[in-house]
Amino acid sequence: MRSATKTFVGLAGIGVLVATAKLGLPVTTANAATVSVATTTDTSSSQTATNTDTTASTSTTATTSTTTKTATKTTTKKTTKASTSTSSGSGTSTATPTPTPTPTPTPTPAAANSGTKQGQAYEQVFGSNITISVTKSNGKITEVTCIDCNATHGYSRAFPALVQATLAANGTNYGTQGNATYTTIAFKKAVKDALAKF
Amino acid sequence: MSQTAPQLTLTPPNTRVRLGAKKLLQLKRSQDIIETFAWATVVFVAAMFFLDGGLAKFGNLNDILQSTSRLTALIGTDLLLIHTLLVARVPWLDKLYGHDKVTIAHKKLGKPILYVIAAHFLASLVQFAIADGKSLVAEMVNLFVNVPDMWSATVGFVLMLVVVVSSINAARKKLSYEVWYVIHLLAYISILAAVPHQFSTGSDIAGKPLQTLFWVSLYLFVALNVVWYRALGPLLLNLGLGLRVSAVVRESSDTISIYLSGRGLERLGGQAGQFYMLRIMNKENWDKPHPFSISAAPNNRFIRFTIGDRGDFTSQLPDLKVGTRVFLEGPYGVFTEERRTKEKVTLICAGVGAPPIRALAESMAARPGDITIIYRVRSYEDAALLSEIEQVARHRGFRLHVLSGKRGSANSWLPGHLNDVPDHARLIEMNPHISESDVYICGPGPWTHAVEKSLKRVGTPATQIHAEEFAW
Repeated sequence: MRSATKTFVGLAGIGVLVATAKLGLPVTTANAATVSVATTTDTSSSQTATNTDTTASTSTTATTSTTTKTATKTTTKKTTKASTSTSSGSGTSTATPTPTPTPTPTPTPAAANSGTKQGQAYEQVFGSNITISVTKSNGKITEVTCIDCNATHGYSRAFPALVQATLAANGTNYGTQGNATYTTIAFKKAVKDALAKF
Repeated sequence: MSQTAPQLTLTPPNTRVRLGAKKLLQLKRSQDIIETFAWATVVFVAAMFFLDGGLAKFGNLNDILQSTSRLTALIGTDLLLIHTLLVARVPWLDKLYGHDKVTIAHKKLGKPILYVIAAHFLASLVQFAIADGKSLVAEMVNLFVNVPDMWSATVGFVLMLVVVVSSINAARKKLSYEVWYVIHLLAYISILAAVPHQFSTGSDIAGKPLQTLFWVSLYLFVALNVVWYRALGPLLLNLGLGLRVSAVVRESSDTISIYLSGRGLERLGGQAGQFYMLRIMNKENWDKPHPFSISAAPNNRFIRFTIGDRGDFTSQLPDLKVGTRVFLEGPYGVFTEERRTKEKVTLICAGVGAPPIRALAESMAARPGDITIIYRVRSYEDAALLSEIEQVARHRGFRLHVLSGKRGSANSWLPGHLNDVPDHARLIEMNPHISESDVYICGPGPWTHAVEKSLKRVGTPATQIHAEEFAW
């Protein structure tokens, strides 16, 4: 590479990295906020988790975390993602699960593609059960509720993010959330279990 | 040995070659584009990680390990795919850099990539172990059993360790080429074994459309290049050509020429100065490709390699039977007229370096006096292809200097009896236009460096000096 090109490519590369790092930071402060919210809801679970076995049921619904998310978020790509998920999330907060985007006029399978089902999975490594319920409307996941979501070692903080990811992906096509590999695997299993019942 | 060499008829020179500095500029531009693209992929994966807020997740030890693991995985995998592409012998890289430079870049990247991937492996393992409160060994077992696709990723990492360890200099000296080569093939398995966990367990691909598109296309691009240029392309070409040994001829006390014939030789598309990987398709040698330069300009009647007796493989070549099947991979190298920018050319060779110089002399278009050939040999009896070079020089009006005799002073590339004046003075005496000509040098490494030193002293710009280093 000629030295002029090298300088240009080097500076442009550093520029892109700095810019993306800056853009990435506000998103994570937002994430940090949700995590703190999540921990407040999860404190009960982490406290009970130390008591083990006694299945403490924490219900972390999608709405609690999403509303806080939109409050803190301003720019970047992730915002669009979050706002789309909040639209469906706020739909559930109004209690009537009638989603604002009402396309897909598929008549007969719509009945089969709507409703609420429960899914279960066993988290092998830490030995806890995960029970969730998935609400679908016209084939789109509109609500994911934790009926019994437990994780030791503070991994319960991953559940809000997992709920969000499930809503955003309308399924289980997402990677590990909140550093919680095992919890993510188990949660996805539970969602798949629920989806299989539709 | 059979003596039925085809009658020597010189191929008409290639008159379509373009000269001038513009060509050089275009070459540099193309190189810049390719390299920028390569670096851009590294910047892209890091940038997407940053956009995802990766940089902010350095709050506690757990996050630091996790983020380190992700970033090293992204950069390491990206570099690993570039590293693989560099050894796929793709013509579009070979044309820009030459086989030697591409191979050197591949070698240089090997160890750093292992370090980056090892950092990913350790950061992940330690992070999981701390988080779960288990020992490293117990956690390893845990990952192996309970996390999807982690077992194959671990196998891939172990294979990568084996490949790199077998390639460090100390190990290369102890291993035969064949053993090393088979171990090196494990690298492909290593890369493939690591793919599933990136998509199923990783945080950076699944559910992210842009990243998914990027990684899937990068994997496919590299895979297609490797499969086509490394395996399928050469195989189909060789099946079509059906190359066989048509004659084996002794050229000097320790040199022989092998003539190959086949159907539609023009399909090989080589140029004078390039080389092929030659595979003798018999029981002992089919799995041992060796690089040799063609020693006659490409023509439709035969391909000729002139080979010195230098080792195990070359010493058995005189007994090669006519009709033996041969596979060729190539052509490779940029020791060609593609790199010529000047009207005047100086061709300098020593001993084993004669074949490509002989081919270049035959195919270069020039006015009488424009080309000077300098041929350094120990003695006239050892001078392979000398009569042919003389014939070309006479026919085309090129000047020829044959420098025969024992070596003189240690730093000189000239025979002892010419050491009364410095080498570079002798060079100007042999060719007064040396500083304004393109110079092609082919010979043993240290000798080539000595010639390059003299060229620098007489003021030949580095861009006009062409020497191919032997590195495979």
